[in-house]
Amino acid sequence: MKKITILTIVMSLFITLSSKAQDLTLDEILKNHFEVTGAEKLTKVNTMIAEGTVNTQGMELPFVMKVKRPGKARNEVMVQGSQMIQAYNGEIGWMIAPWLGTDEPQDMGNDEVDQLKEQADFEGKLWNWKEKVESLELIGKEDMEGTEVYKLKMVEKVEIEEGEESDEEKKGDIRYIYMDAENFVILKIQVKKNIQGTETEIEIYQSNYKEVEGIIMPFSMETKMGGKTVNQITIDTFKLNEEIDDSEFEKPVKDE
Amino acid sequence: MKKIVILIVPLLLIYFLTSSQNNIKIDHNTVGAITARHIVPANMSGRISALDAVDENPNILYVGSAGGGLWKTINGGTTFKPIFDEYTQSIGDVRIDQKNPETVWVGTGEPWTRNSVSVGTGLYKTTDAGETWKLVGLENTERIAKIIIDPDNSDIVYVAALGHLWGPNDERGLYKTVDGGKTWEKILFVDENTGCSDIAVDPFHSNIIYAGMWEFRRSAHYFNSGGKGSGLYKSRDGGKTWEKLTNDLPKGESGRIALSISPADSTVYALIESEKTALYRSKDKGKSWEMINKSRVVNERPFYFSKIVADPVKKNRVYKPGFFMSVSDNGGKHFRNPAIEGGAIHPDVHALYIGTKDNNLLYIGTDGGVFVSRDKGNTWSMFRNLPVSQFYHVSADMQKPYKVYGGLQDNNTWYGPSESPAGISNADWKKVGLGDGFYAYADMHDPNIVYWQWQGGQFAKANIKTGEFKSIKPYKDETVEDLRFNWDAPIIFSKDGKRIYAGSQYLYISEDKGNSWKRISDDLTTNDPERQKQETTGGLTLDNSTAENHCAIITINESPLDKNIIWAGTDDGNIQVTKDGGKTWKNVTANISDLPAKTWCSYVEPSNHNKNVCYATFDGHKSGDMNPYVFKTEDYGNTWISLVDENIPTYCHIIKEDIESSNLLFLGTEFGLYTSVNGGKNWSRFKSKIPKVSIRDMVIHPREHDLILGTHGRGILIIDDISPLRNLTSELINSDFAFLKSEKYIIKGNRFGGNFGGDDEFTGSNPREAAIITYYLKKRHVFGDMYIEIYDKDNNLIDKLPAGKRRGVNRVPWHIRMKPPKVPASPQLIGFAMLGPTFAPGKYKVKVIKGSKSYETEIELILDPDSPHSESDRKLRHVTLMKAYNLLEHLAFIDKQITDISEQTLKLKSEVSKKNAKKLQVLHNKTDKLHKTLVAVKKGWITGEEKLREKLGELYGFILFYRGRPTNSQIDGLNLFEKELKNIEEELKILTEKDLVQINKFLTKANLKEIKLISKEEFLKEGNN
Repeated sequence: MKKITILTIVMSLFITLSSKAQDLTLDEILKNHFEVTGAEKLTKVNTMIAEGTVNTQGMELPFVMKVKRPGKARNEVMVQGSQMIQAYNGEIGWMIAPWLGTDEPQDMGNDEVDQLKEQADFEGKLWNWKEKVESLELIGKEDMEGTEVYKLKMVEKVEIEEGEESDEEKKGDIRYIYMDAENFVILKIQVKKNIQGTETEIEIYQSNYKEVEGIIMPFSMETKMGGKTVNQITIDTFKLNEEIDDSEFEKPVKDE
Repeated sequence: MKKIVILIVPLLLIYFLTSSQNNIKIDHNTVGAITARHIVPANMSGRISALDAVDENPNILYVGSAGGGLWKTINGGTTFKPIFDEYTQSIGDVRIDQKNPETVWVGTGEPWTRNSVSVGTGLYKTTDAGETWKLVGLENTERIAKIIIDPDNSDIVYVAALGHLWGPNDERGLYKTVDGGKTWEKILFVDENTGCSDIAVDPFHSNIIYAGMWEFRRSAHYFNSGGKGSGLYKSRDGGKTWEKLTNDLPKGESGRIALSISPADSTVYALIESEKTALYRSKDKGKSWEMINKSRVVNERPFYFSKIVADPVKKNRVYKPGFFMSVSDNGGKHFRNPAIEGGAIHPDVHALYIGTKDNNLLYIGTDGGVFVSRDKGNTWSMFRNLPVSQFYHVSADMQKPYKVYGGLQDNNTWYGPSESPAGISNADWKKVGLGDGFYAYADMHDPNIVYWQWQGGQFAKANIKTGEFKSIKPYKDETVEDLRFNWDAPIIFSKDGKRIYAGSQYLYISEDKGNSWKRISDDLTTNDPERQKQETTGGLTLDNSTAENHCAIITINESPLDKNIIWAGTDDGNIQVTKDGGKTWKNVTANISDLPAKTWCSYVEPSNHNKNVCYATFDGHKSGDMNPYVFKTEDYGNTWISLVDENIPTYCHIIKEDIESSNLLFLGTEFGLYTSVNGGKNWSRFKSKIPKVSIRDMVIHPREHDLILGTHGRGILIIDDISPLRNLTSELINSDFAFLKSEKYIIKGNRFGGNFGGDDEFTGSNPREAAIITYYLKKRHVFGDMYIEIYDKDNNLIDKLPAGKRRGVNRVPWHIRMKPPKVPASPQLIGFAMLGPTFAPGKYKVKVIKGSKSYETEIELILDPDSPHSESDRKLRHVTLMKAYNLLEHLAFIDKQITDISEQTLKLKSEVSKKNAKKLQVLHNKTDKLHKTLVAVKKGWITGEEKLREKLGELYGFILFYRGRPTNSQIDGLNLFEKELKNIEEELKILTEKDLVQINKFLTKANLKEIKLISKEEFLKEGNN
């Protein structure tokens, strides 16, 4: 009996190893990804506050990022003692940058609002992707800078923004997701974004994954455009379920 | 049962051991973040072999170059992007499916069969406008001359394959697919020496096809165009059956044939090379032909310019690209230049697109890039953003920054800087010389003298101050035969710049900069008379341009360790060495086994480290042999070993041994750059920003340790500071983490440049202006912390940086600047104070934290040894700058105290008695007034408001930007600002000691929190800035 047990263990190890070597289906990859990152736990988180620094053009700027369900987001960046705020309350996006000539809140453009909307989506586009995006497919396994990854292709939904005419030829943005084939965390997201009719390629590299209350999150993000680094974000702390007042996401009414 | 377990366990153990300890393979990822940068601008551009635009929107244009890949613009040429970098860079033809313009077909392998032409690897197709490509067949055709899509059915495509240039092969002729490229049928084939040079499909009857078949062959020493295989064919059934057309056409042998059918009236034009090359015209679908023109315009170098294009709109209008542009408005009877007012285009036109909606629009591809005309060829603009220049050779001087020099195919000799403020622009580059350019050098002792040459051994030197040039080619004396110089004849400087070597079949040396020459060898070639018949080269059309000159020396190098050791290789396969400065020579060719006889010796590289050692590359492609040949001798050529491994894909032009490590080798092949870090045992392609372009020459800069690449299709590329590659030993790459040594970083001054020249010019990149921290990672970092800390000599943490995390070599830029000074908050930013001062010269500790482990090394910042500023001036500048810096921070601190009081007094007003509220209001008013003397508070875009903050910020910036002595006025100004700030501080002190004390008293009484002032220490600690 004992012998059989050993054999079973050994055999099952073999099976695990060989199934690891095999290519997985999209569903299996996503299942592993959600398990590894603790996505289920994330659905129970109501607010999140990230604090850190953003390095851009040789400058290092402190920032705070806040998100709250349902779909609210706010970013604060300090430059020379003054605070820039971008926020989205689930309906409208606004910003204040005192050095742009006024300290009154300004409405944000669609592309900038999209960014905040995405930030406000706690679980990201892969979670319940069928509801969020047009399509998702597994392109296959490939080498990304020497690391084996699964490459997923996502086509986003076409959104006719306010003030835009509907355009049948408008296509959804395409994003490629490069998932570590060993650890099932996202290493890179490559977005082909259509900005005012021009396709721009943005790459976001994610690393320094750490656990926060059972959830695995990237503490380091590097954004490249046209292959050149435009900013690097380092997160010092992630706080979950802290109280954030709804008013922080609302556009301030003009002071008297 | 037990046996099975016993068997399985060791198997498993082996599995685990091998998977955890497997030897890390050296591949293109090992070099990781080490990348090349492109420095050559596009004012000379390069040879364009094909182009096509979208008829409905001709702002979308695809440009295929002879050796620099495929480029695309979607804005009519304002900007271009390369879209084919991972594939073969020599383009034969590009064809857009006009019914579905997202589908584009690209045939590789240039059809303009000059001596220096590259090779193709088949036919590619995209269905997403160039985003992704698929190889769809015809891999062994070597060159594709024409692709035509059936006007009625996009799945039917005809491909004219020329086939091999330097030998016979069967994969040539006319191919057809009826299923969008899945399967191919060869529908017209003559013989293994004859390819299809052009096809035309009747626009109204797509089953009617005409095909020109061409017999041709090139070798290293001869070219033949024409033969029995050539001829004009017609099919009425989509290629099932063919008829050779002879009626009214030349009787004897013919050569290359070009075709075009007018979409306006179906006239068929056929340009047929023969004993009497002429343009023929048929108005009855090929039944009868009229010889319409036999002037020189239609008889220019058929192998290079066999092209005729009927206007898509206007009857009887037909263009003949050639040395220049020509056009006929009477169906080919008379040709003239379409340019009346303009015409400043580069000669040698190979490609033409005519707008189908607006036939005033012409795009042409020449030996010098793409030009556009919007008035039917009357005037032209050049696209100055296609950096597809074809260098033969490259060199660098010792100026700071160093300049690079090189000669190009049909584009003279150029030189320009390796860096320039705001990027290397077209205007930074200067031209010298004539004709095709090859070797070029600055005189090491006089940078005003530039050595250059044109084809066939025409050596010269130019004075770039006066613009004069002087020919310095050697002449024969009565003791020798006429001199034979290769097309690309070598002229080589010794490392110290004192001796020049020049090669005909004899080797010459000059020790007086070309004024006199001494012959130091007998004929080093095979002197084979069969290979010296250039006076008849060309075939039906004589074409003796020196391109086939042969039996000559092609590569020379003096040993860097001993000037008497000289190696020379010849184009007919000899490699010879002398150890006594040329008195005696030894032909060591026969000592190399596995090298086919008479294989062109493309490069000799005597070792930098051991004078017995020499490397050599051989290139047999001009005899149809595409194999790589790379050899090394350690005993002056008596024995040789091959350094070729299975990774090297094709023929090689050059090998370079690093100047510091004999393990580090660079190999230039027709399909890109290869490196070896173990002395040539294994090779891997260097991919980062280097496409599969032909690498013709390389130089390692002796001071900067940059590798400079001369490419035949992508200009000049530089890999900055190769020193990290020297330490990539096999031991190191098996460690999880290791630092790699980088050069010391020279602290540079701030430079300003750039202008508003529009987006339509190519700009070469500069080296990164940051100290580089270099390390190797065996595996990508994914989980846990990884970042970098920098410590000064007293072990104070002074900076923290995000780390690079990719597999292989990582290069992290450290911008060597302190944090910018804290400044008071204001609606206005101070641009002048956005940067901190640079850290002082010296050694710094670098600590990479990776999870629970940390690794330490040192990085050194040094002063620019060429700085014009004296040490005392620099010291004064540093002291003054830090004073301004500290003063700004102090100002920020004082203002913070002031605004804190101002804000809190206002807030507390409602919580106290009316009387006290009044006191709070008084203090608020006083502090608010103080704040307004310190800081600009007006809102708006251009307020012009300047307070102490703005004035001090500007002064700080001016001292920061100049690395030398500040002006006396700046020093005085700073003292005055210091005094002004002190006065404000005094006023604040009075307020805090009197008013605030009083207020805090009643606040305490009312059980309210006192107004407390932040301390300077606390303020400086605060992260926000």
